[in-house]
Amino acid sequence: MAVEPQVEKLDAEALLTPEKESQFSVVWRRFRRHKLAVVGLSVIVLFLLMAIFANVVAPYDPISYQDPYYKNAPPSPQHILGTDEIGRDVFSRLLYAARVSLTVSFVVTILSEFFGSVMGGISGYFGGWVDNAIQRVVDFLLTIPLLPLLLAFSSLLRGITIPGIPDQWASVVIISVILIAFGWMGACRLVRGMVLSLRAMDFSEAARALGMSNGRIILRHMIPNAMAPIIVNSTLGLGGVIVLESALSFLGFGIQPPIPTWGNMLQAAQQGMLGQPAKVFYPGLAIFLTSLAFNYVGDGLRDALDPRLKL
Amino acid sequence: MSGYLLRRFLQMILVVLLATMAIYTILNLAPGGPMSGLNQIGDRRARFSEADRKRLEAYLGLDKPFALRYAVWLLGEDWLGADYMHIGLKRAKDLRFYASPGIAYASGGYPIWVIGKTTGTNEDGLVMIEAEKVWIRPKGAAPEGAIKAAIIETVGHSMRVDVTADPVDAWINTSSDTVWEAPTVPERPQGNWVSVSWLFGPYGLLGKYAHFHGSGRGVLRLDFGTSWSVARGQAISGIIESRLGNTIKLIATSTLLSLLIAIPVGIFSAVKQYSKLDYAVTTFTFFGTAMPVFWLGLMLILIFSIQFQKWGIPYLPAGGVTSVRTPPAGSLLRTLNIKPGDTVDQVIHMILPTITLSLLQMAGWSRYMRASMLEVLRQDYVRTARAKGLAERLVIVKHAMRNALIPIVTIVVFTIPALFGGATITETIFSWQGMGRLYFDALGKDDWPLVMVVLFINSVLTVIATLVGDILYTVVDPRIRYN
Repeated sequence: MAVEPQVEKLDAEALLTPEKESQFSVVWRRFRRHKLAVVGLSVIVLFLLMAIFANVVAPYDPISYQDPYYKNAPPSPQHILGTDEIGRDVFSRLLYAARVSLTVSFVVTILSEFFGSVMGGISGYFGGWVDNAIQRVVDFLLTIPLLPLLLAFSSLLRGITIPGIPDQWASVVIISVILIAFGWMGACRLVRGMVLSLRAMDFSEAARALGMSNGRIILRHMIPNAMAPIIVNSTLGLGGVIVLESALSFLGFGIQPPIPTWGNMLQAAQQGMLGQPAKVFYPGLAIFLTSLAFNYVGDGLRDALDPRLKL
Repeated sequence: MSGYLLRRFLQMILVVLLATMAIYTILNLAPGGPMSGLNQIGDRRARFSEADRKRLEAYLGLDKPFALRYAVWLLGEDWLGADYMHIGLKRAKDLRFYASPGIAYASGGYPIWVIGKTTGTNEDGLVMIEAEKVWIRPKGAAPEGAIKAAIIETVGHSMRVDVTADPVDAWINTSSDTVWEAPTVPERPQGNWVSVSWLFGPYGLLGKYAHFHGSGRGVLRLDFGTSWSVARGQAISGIIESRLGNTIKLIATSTLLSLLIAIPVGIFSAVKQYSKLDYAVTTFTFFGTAMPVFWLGLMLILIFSIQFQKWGIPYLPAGGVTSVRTPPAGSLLRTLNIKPGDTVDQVIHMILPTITLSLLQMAGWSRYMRASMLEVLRQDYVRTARAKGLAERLVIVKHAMRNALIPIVTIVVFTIPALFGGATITETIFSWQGMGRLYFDALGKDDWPLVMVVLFINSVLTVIATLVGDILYTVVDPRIRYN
């Protein structure tokens, strides 16, 4: 057997030089200790796979399949979650909707948290006029009401085309850009608050004394230490973006009705909600489960990334 | 610190000014506006004509340049000289003067009567009338032989009018020979505005931009104006006064409740990380954060009002601030025999909206608390505090908690604007007569003056909130300095 000695050799090596373990595998090992986070991650991966392979998994076409004699049907073997008000299969629509909803919420949250954190780091670390300027921009953006803004943009931007992007996805891109532009202030304020406190601590003094560049101090020392509230903020944001999108669909802005999203399905189901509470239940449940899963993953990630946890 | 505060105060003014400009622009860019939906009336005869539309536009001031409208909103219009016409009209019997926007204002949307000669048609095909005598008469019989008309716009010494008996508009030209007759218009009591009016009056540079209402003093002088559509003609300050109490009651209660629960819960689940209780609390708060507000609100109504009623359990009111009449049999209010409008009655009405709001706030806040507590608990100085034998309780409350409060402070200060602005969705679901609902209604009905006032006060409070947050940082962590 040629395999066995090799395994032993690897084991010995690992024991002698434990620091060779990659950052990623450390994080992954710690992450697995949080059982519910693992469950959450599995749920997200499952949802992602179902979204990616929606065309294989979904039993019907989400838009073109309409059964006029079978509207508002309860769950049955043919339609496991029933049909909607014009006879489309709810299960298939939920699967296709996941594509848009998950993409938008991922992209918007990651980019706005990243941008917000960097701005917050710069603002808190440098202080003075830099801080003042950035924070006044934040104040300004915080006072802009999103609802009228989106109403105004909806007419200006409807029918706009972006080269290289299919027309029906142009609105998705635009929404994402607007949500990022008006969504980074929370992370910025949070990180700045943390950094204001962190920069007065000994370790940042030490980093400065070692001659580290400001950019490096912000990226390697300030932001990682302000990670806890950022992770909470992002996990809250991921669900929030999906719900916000439902409000946008209601205004007729963004992703237009034939293309299903969890948000606009929820919105549509709300119309007949008192008669058929179950219709609100499915998209609501999808949003709820995703949000819940993200929260657990965020929690596990926070624990896994904690530099003071030496395990 | 005082220098810093002064600087911040000046910056605040600038930010609020820019914000109001941006908000005003956004409202005006949005499609629709107060003129949309006017012609969606089934009855053809009841529909608005183009002339009606123009008149209404002029009445609301929408025909004026955008920048000027904003200036009038901010600074008022009394200085623009619209009042000049008050004097002129008072003395109309012995004065001869020309048509001007002031006339349109003085006529206040009422018709005018004109006697004059037709002099032909202009290039647009509109009849030109050389006026001999013009009456402005809110009430009373028509002068003999006069035609009835409504002013659409005034240009120089001419008025474009909608002749009431005729579908076609006409231009009425006035000259120094035209005789004017008008009722007494209430005089402005005091001030040296007359001379200002002479400068800026209708014949002056800015006169033709005078707003038709003539009396607004602008938001900066705390004159919030009157509502357009939510409560037509009512003073906005009065409308806000009637709603603000309800909102403060709701938001203050739910904020206090959330803080009182979220902070201990957050600390507890950090200290006992991965205990059964931590998992339970975590899961519970995740339920709170994962639910859309309107979903949660509707589900609560579905269970505690509708289903409870079906099951014969004393049920909670589904909405409203107080009961208006004796509550129906079977409700909790009837079972407890509570008089409508009672304190207990109000408290019972608050239960469901407060739960909805608190559950969401609490969930988020306890997460922030837990996360930053976990971070702090592993720091050296906490270990030091423990090592020197401090009681665990003291270590947590005095040493750890304080440093974990920064994210919480950042988030919680934003309940300051919320105290004024309310919670739009929750208030709408529970028909809570508060500010959030008022804002939502005003936005839906294009009541721009009302929307602007709500957003203006909101932006002032938001800016104050960030300042309060920055000051609180220095309290929480005295090392923080804003040189």
